[in-house]
Amino acid sequence: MFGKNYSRTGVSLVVLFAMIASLPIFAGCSTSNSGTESSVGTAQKNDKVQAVDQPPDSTTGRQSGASKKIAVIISTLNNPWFVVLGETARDRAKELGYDATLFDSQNDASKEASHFDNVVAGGYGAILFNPTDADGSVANVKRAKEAGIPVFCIDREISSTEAATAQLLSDNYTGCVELGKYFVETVGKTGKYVELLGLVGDNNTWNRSKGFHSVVDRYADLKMVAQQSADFDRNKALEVMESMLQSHGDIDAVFCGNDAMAMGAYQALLGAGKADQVKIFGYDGSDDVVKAVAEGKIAATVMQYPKLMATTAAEFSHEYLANGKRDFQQKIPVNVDLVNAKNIDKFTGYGKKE
Amino acid sequence: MLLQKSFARIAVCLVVVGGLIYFFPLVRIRKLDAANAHQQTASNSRPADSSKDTAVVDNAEFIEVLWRQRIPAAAKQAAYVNEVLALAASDGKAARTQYGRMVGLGGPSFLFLRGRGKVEDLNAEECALSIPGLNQRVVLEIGILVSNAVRDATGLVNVADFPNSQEFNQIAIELNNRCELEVIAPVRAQLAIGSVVEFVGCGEVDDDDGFRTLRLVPLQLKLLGAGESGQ
Repeated sequence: MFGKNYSRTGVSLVVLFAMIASLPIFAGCSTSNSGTESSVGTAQKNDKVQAVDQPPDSTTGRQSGASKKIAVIISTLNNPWFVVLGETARDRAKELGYDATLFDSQNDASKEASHFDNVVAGGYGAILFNPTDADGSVANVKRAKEAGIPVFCIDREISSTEAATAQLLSDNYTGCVELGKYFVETVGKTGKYVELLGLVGDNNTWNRSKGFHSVVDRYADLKMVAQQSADFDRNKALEVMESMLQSHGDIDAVFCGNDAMAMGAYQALLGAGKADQVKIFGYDGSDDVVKAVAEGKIAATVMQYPKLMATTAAEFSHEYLANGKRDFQQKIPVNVDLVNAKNIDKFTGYGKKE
Repeated sequence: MLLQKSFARIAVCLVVVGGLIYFFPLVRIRKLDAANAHQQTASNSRPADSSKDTAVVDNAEFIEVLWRQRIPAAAKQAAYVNEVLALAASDGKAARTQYGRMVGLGGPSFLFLRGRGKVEDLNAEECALSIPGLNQRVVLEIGILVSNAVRDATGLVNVADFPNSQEFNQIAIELNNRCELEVIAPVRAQLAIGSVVEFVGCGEVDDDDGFRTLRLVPLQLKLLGAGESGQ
């Protein structure tokens, strides 16, 4: 009987203590302390896991100069263009003598943050990074910087001039100015068109769109009748284009923010029997679209150079880790080229012919 | 007896809870200054909380100062077009190296040039000039302007100063608009074949042969009278 009462008292005490102890946690939710603690917690857990196969350095385990590990974190490997970007960066880092690992963020900011937690905790010396979100990814880069890990952004920008060590960025705006000029040249100064935008949180999406519109909008009789995001995704572009064609069956052209969407749009137009009437414009210089330009299925694309960017980023990280270089230019535009029927002979997928 | 036991249990609980509250108070009263200082320290140590940098450049003010003060000052130092083209005629690579400005990896060489020329051909989009001492023409773009030449040729605008490259690209649009409205439009109607103009302009060449078809966006354009032209 007494035992029961004591156990009830004990349970009451435990419950009371738990309630009291939890109060500061709920109170702390109004500040962002909790987020920091949670990521620290994750890092600590990962430190323990990492210690199984690699002992951390004596201090933080993250003295970049001592590490021979490079992480390549890519926004998505569901697009061949990014596969080329990521694999080239990884392979070049390996050639330079590093243990390089490729991470796929699957266009998911939380997965990307988790990769950074693991990389920061895992004793990596540098990160070659293709972000998922221009604004949202800044925090991850800053976290790595705090841990003494240099981050080299490739292709996609983060909206910061101080978080990354350097950013190698395709000059998307200029590329789409050139594409816009060619669009007017081939479609004419009058007509109707639609636009498929990429991920709305990515600066590349808007630099491409604004570069294109800086030219095309100057011609009042070239009218954009619909504009919608298809997230740089081929399947989504197919769906969006099919839907657009139901209400805008009389368009003359479609401008797509990347080549994957251009291929999706082409499939939709093919299905609707309009592939010969509607001119398609893409962006990237991917293998399938370069072939489609050669075959006349797609009017033009813009060649980005993923191999050049990836290789240069890997070499920058080597300069940083092995040779102590620190004075990198913060943002480095990388030239792009218009690819159309006139110059297709010079190009192959992802670059120029050797 | 039962009542006494219950009172005893409650008393024990109260003592224990009291002890816990003493060591872990539900509310802490602090001076406001101290609390603010703590908050500041915490936020300084939490870069992850700030999703992006505050823009370091106010675009409207930046463009105004650039257009009204910095570009006019820099224009006085622009290279003379006849000197550049004379060198390019014999050594295009040397001309690019000496007078060109590259931005980033690959891409064209941007040129910031000044000179004087006679209008030889004219349409809505362009104005072809002959330059004294040269046997080639230079084209001034006087229609719709869409390039980055004005932004990138002067060397006064650096992409690294802009947290978001969209703002950097907006500079190109704004400068082109100003060139159209404030430089070209005021003299457009007076331009005629045979007239002589003085100009400062920005252009780009993709390769060493690019000088042969040099096109410039005028940043300054002045129609010279008969007494000024010297032609």
